[in-house]
Amino acid sequence: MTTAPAAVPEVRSLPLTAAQSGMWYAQRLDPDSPAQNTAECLEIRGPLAPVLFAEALHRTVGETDALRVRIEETPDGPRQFAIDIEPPGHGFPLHAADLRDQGDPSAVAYAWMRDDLARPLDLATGPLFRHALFQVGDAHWLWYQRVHHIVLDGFGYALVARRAAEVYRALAAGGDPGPSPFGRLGALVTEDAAYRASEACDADRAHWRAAVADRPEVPGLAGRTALPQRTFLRQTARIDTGLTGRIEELAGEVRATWPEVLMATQALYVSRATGSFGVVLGVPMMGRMGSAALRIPGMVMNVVPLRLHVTPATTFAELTRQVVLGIRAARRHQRYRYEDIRRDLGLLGEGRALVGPLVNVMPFDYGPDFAGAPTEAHNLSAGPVEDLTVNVYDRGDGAGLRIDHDGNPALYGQTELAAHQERFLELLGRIADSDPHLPLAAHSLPTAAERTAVVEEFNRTARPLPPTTLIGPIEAQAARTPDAPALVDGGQTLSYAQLDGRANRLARYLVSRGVGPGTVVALALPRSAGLVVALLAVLKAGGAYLPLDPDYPAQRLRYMTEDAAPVCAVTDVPGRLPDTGLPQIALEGLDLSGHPGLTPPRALTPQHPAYVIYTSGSTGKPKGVVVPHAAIDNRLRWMQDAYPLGAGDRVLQKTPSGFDVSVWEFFWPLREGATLVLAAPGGHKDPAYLARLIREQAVTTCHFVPSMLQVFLAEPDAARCTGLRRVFCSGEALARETAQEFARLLPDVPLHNLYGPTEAAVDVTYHACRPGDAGPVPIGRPVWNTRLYVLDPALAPCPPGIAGELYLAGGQLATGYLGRPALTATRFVADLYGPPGTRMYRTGDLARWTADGEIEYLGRTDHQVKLRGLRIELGEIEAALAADPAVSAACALVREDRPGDQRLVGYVTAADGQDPDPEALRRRLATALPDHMVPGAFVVLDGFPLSPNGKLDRAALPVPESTAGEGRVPRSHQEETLARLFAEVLGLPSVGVDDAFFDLGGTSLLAARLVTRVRAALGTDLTIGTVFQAPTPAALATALGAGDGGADDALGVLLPLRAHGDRTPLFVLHPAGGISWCYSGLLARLGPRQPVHGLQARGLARDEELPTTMEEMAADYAAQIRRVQPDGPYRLLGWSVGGVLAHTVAVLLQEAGARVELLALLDAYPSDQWRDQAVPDETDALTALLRMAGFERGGELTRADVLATLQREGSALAGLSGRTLSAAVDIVINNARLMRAHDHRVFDGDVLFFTAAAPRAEDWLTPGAWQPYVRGTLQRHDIDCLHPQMTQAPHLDTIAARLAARLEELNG
Amino acid sequence: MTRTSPFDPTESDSATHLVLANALGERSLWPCPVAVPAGWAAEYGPASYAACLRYVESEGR
Repeated sequence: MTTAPAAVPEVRSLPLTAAQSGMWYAQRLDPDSPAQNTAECLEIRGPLAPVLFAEALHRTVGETDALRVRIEETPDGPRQFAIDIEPPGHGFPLHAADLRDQGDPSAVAYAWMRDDLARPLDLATGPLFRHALFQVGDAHWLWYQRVHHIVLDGFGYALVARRAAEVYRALAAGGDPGPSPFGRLGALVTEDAAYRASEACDADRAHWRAAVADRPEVPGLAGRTALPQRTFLRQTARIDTGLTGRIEELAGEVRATWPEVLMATQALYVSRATGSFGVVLGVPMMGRMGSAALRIPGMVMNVVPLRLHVTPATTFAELTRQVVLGIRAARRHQRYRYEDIRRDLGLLGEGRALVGPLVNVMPFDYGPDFAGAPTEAHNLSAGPVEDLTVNVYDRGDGAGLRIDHDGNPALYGQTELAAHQERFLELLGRIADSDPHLPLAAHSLPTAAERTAVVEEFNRTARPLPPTTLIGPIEAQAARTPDAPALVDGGQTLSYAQLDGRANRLARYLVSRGVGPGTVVALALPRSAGLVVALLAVLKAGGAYLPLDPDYPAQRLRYMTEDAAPVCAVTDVPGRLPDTGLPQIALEGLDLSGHPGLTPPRALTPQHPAYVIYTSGSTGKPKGVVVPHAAIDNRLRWMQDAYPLGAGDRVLQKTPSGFDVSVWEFFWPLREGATLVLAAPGGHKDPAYLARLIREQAVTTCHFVPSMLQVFLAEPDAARCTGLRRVFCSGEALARETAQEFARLLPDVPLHNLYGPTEAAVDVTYHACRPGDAGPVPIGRPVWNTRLYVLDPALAPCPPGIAGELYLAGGQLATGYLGRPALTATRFVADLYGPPGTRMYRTGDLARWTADGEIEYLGRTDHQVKLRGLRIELGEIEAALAADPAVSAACALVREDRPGDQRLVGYVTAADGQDPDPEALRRRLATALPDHMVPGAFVVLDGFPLSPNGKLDRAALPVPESTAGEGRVPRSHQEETLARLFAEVLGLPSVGVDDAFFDLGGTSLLAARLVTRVRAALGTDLTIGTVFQAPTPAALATALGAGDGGADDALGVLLPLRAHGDRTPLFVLHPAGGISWCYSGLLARLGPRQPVHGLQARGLARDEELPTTMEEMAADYAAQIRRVQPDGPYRLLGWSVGGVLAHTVAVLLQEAGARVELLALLDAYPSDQWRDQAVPDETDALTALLRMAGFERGGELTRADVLATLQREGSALAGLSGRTLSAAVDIVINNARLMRAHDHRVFDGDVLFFTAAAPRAEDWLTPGAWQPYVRGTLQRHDIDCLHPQMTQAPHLDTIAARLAARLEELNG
Repeated sequence: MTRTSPFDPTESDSATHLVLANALGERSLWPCPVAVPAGWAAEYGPASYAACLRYVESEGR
């Protein structure tokens, strides 16, 4: 301690150390922030001479270069300049106060300190420290020192405090404190700079690169990240000497130090709280390697990452060993800056952390001895807190350890910090008391009280129930109220007795076909009374039903029927399902008169399966979930108790039967004497239809997937659905905004959020939304006989607030996956917390308990996603993509590039020598997967982006490019405004006037948003339907603007829906009303290379004579077509009357010697079929016109009424003038008349025919009637919809996919 | 977010899992380090994850 400070000459200005630079830049981001203040308070118990104390401090500061600086930016970067420090009494920053006359002197002193600590220091002026000395008792002093972290680190603090005490002792003894023991700051700076230019630095860089390149993600205990705030929160506790002793004992046993035991404990804590085996702790280190640096107060400390692997099988001894070795290795490379490691990894952006919580153990023997007075040091601030820092102090004072949990207030509240600390200390105690050679699986985070709450108290749901089945209570109800209305399907109402009788007759027939308990029956019927009869009949016969959506691709239907091996299939019409050898029973024409309408006998138990529902499977194949009667019976009994239905209730059935929400929709009302109201097939996607149906049918109870609820609420009529008594949401996370919007529009209707997988009988949790609530909407509490567990990776329970995987147990669990024992054994696993021998279902959902026993849903733990409420395994899509011979590897992803807008994107790389075509991929997938699983965009990549550890980096997959923003410039103010609104809503820089909304990634959700903005910007009323019909700015402008008498080319005879493209044009002929806008949906679906031209009736744009024969009209259109395309081959398509016209035009073109290579008819029937039908009168025409606009006729009596409705309610036709609409009525009538008088000639070629196959009144219509007029074959495709729905999604998707495939063949 | 579940497939060949069975003949995959719950008994293993699944698949058919 005799080295002369003058060995290194003092310099007036010095550069900063690397550590100081980091702080400099951090401070510059927020110059007024006090966050970098560090402070200690030393309690001195004994006599102290304040004057000598001040003198000692002044001398010590005089010896400490680091404290005598100010820091300023220079052209060479920030530098520290030496400043003079005035002596005590002349400006020395020491505040002295005698507080002995205060009521609570210490409290006053600490209040002063807190206030001082909240003041920023000015780097440019200095001094960068401040002292205070408070006398709080006759022999009781508080020495406060605050220092900007940029000049001193924790080690430097200790050096300074010890030296100050040493000087004081010397002065008090009347002696000379001797020469300064400190080295010069210049030496520290020089050493720091030398290090950074050294080979050692390069070696350290290489070390850290290798050590952390493949590091795990470090989510932090709060599950998110935030920038450090100006303040931090602190929770302090003491580890008493007893526990400290046990920790030291344990440390000895595992050959480590007690700080390493604390680090290992924290690693275990973090691993369980984040659900990750990989943990990276931040460990502050001195950053001083040489003996010189150990004598120099200054700021060189560093934080290094400590990577640990914490599995349930690891023992505590092994974990501590990892810590020991990790610290040893880190210590050798500790001078390489934390900021540089982050920079090397490209992590400098926000939100990408390198380390999780910090563990800062300060075993500094402070030892300041003020002439014999005992001292005790308290840290007040250890600097900025990024996430969570655990500071542990051993002051060597024999009082055990002090532990501070410091948290970033942007991430933690005081109670959360306190909970983390309490749990950490309890865990530490349990670890200290257990065998360190046992697996860590034995340990868990919650305190004893928390464990009781999450395992027992929150799950007190036991409720004894009678052993009934799904069907039994329905039969009992039918006996109780035979005459009550059971079911409404359009205009048809069935009483309980009628429904029961029909179902019994069919059930008895099914029994005769081998159906009984334990067997499966496939059902492929559109939503209809027939479907309900079939559902009940299967259950009555004792069988389990397997719903099949006839719209699914044949490949998938075939897979499901082979996998589930049903006894037979019940369909509405023959040929509904692909022929797989499975006996198919079509209800149409089935004579059941020989079967009595009495309940058939059956040996059904609650353990028998009630239904089998297929869900998407991660391995590429869907899997059948087998749900027993007891499970669904429990679910429905709970629901009736929670939300009692009465005889007056009417429950809407709109969920497709393949999704399990439909189960309660179908059966709950029938068990309780309420009425089931069936939506039309396809109607569940049409918000306007639903709003109308809910009002007209006085529906009291219905369900929405939250994204559909959002769309529904955007419907102007939603707020008028005031007859509702309850609305349920489930299927995906319910956004608080949606719940609030619901409360605003329908304030008197309760909204309930339910949650559950198919594997646990529809729903297992429930939560009632309250208008005043904020934050995420919880999924709520468990239903009857149901237990919920939130478990960490060692299957130990997570305490409230800590995220883990959600497991479900109790009476609602499914039996398992049909024919998949291994899959069943990995998802339905032994229940650690339930009655002996029971199972729990692993959901794959991430969740946490709230303090009062509700569950919050946080997302998925795997790659399963939900898109608009439908469960999707990306693996299944990836498998389908990879099956394409042009593809070598594939990845599917749900992107949310615009908030709230999710879309499915497929990424592929090409197989050798192949060039995958996105359109071809889309078509291929459409043949293998249901619509909702076909990506909306495909991206062909040269290679997949990989993370440093060689895994696919999903986050780095590019946003799909769009071709938006090119093409024709807007030709009107409206087009310009609309193009801008499209771009805003879609989040694109610009959108061309001919870019179709849905081509650019638009969804129905975004369409709802667009509609709102268009209404606001243009003051025009329109609905989502308008956007579907007119999906480009140009088309939308036309639809909106035509009524203003503007440019009316949207009503011309020739309407270029898409004028350009290198393919042979497709000509589409108008239906009865004469307008061809309905075909605009084809544009997006056929791709940008396919031109599409519409033919429209004369008389719409201006007053004209209407044609007098079909022949005349067709000849006119043929001439128009030849103007666009003088020579064949021609491609024609027509819907309804348009089909008749297309056939006639095709014949004319052929007779003129041209080739017609495509004739596609959409639910069009030849004249013969109409000839004997009465010509529609004006009333019929008005009804037809309303239907074209998507309305069922209500109270409108006259032409004026109808036109008013069309214009008021808004539709694709809403913008049309009264004159045009009036002309359309005349055109409808004229076309009907001409069609009946027309004689068809023969078309020489094949016809592609699409039938609207849902049951309809005109059951005499048959495509076969075309046979005499078609020389080739009639290729029929049934579309499960009504005639007016053909040009709407999703039916148009199916039509367009088939059409595109044909066009592709023709293109060659 | 990478979360780890003891029921997720591992590529490791080491004997990390058991197959448990209950009185109903239901089977459950089970991670070795976690104590076997009451009412269940190990029927196969410890063995690798893949081997346990193969066992369940062959016994369950």
